[in-house]
Amino acid sequence: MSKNLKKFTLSPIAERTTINKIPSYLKRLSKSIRAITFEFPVHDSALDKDFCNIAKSLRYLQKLESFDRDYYIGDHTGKTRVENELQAYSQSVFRLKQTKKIGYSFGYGEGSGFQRLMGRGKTFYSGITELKMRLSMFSFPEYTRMMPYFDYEDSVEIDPSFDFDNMDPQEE
Amino acid sequence: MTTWILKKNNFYGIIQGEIQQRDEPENNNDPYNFQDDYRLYALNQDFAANCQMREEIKSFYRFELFPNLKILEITLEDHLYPLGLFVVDGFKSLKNLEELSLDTMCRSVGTGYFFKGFLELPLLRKFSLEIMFIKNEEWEILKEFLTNQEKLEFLLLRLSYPTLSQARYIQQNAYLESIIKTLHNKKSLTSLHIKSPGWSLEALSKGLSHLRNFENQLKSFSFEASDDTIFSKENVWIRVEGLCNFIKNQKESLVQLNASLPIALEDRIVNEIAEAISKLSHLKRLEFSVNRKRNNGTDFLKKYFQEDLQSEISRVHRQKLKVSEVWNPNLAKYFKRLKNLEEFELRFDLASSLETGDWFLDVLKIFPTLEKLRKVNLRTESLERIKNLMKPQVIVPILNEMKNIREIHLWTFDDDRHDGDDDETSPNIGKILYNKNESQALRCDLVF
Repeated sequence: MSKNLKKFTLSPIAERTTINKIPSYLKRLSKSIRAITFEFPVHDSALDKDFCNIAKSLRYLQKLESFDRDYYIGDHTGKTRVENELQAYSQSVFRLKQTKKIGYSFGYGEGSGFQRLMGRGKTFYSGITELKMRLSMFSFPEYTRMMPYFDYEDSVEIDPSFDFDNMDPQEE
Repeated sequence: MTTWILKKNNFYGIIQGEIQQRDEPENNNDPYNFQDDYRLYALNQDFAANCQMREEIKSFYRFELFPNLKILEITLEDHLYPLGLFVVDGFKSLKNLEELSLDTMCRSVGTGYFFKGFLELPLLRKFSLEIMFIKNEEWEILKEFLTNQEKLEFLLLRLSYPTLSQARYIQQNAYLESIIKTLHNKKSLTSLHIKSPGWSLEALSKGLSHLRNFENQLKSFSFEASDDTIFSKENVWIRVEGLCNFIKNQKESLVQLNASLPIALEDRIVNEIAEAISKLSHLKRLEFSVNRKRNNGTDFLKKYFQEDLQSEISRVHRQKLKVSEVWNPNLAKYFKRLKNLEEFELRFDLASSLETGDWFLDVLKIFPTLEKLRKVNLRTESLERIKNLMKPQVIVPILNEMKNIREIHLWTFDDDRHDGDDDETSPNIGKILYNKNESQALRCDLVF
């Protein structure tokens, strides 16, 4: 591998990626690396510790300036995984001197883990500089349970031009 | 009343406690035990459900846990639980934020809290808002927010659905104009994107006429608006004067331009805009889209202007949009002047049966003359018309001339069909273009 490698992007399109070997690749990556982007669907066999190990292995890349993590995870994974992973990123960044950007993007399968962390956590994740949230109803772990109480018509705001009862004088 | 408030607070405590304990292993046996809880039955279940929804969605906005957050992107892909003051509190804690992107495909109840939250944000470099519609009071807040944002480098404002009353349509256009006016003192702004099929080209144009001081300032510019010939009292030039002058004012700085006219049915409108674009001597990437069919396209907008916005007028007295019989024949003439163009995308729709399509072949013929052009994307929803037009004996000689092009794609759609569906009666354009792309990819221009 080139000793002068500056940028590394892993973005396979077709298949789900097995992530358990990524940490060992990262450790062997050129120390000159400045930017890493991971953007892929994760294989269902991935364990919670695999995600954390990727975060931990960043600490070996002393010249790292930018890291983007955008996984697609189909099913709801362990509830504490997001919390542990974010902590691992923060700790790794703490050891890196040149890091300017750590981007964390969470998708549907990680909604419950992220909500748990945000809802009751008191830990500050100062290492994270970029956050991408994609929220849908499936981000809420209790959605099925709440459905009887969640009326579509009452949950959306309609264009005021349909709201004939609440028009201002000009609109009337 | 006091008893009720106390009761509510106690109840809220029960809900919070329940949520806190939910993750404990012993409580996870039956996740659907909510309705069996006698404490929740004791009070109104809807109220209990609302409390729980609020607690669930509130968690996502505790941004104080990320004190060094510089970039925040929120995409709401559905109508979600009601939003509340917690959104404002969340935004208030974003002390180091530099870029905010909010994309709401549906408007959940309480979306207005986002706007209130904008006022709590620090000075941003990038602000992007994509939303279904904006209410009157939110326009005012947005105006205040943008007025104060002095360091803004990137601004995107996109409304996905046109409003359906004439009064609001006129009002929305007035707001658009006033919003653009607030940008006049933004010295750092280099990227501006203002898009909605429901805005009139005239309002956009009038708004941009306030930005006369933007001389060679923008590097990237996108606009989308419909040429409304029904409610406008102005002539063609007045409807586009501000826009054309604004584009010409960026002639030495603009590198990327996305011009989208979902409905522009008069040749002169397209001529004036294309002529202004032809002055952009530094332009490298151009996306030019006119009269599309899909995504709130021509048919939708014709109905919108001719019927929806005139619903209070009897059918006999309703005005119709001026529809051009043939496509604009002058595009090739104007685009030929863009000598620095590297990427070009043209989206069009052959609306009229009188269309000969010669203009399209003329556009193809200019590509070899644009020496720096490397990538071409052509998108149309008139598959059959294009297939008939692009016969091998016509298209192959033109393609052979394109030595400079590395990639050329023609995306054709015709309702449910696309050019992958082979048809014995017409040539497979895809195959011809594939061969062209393959031969260009194998070319080596290295000189030793």
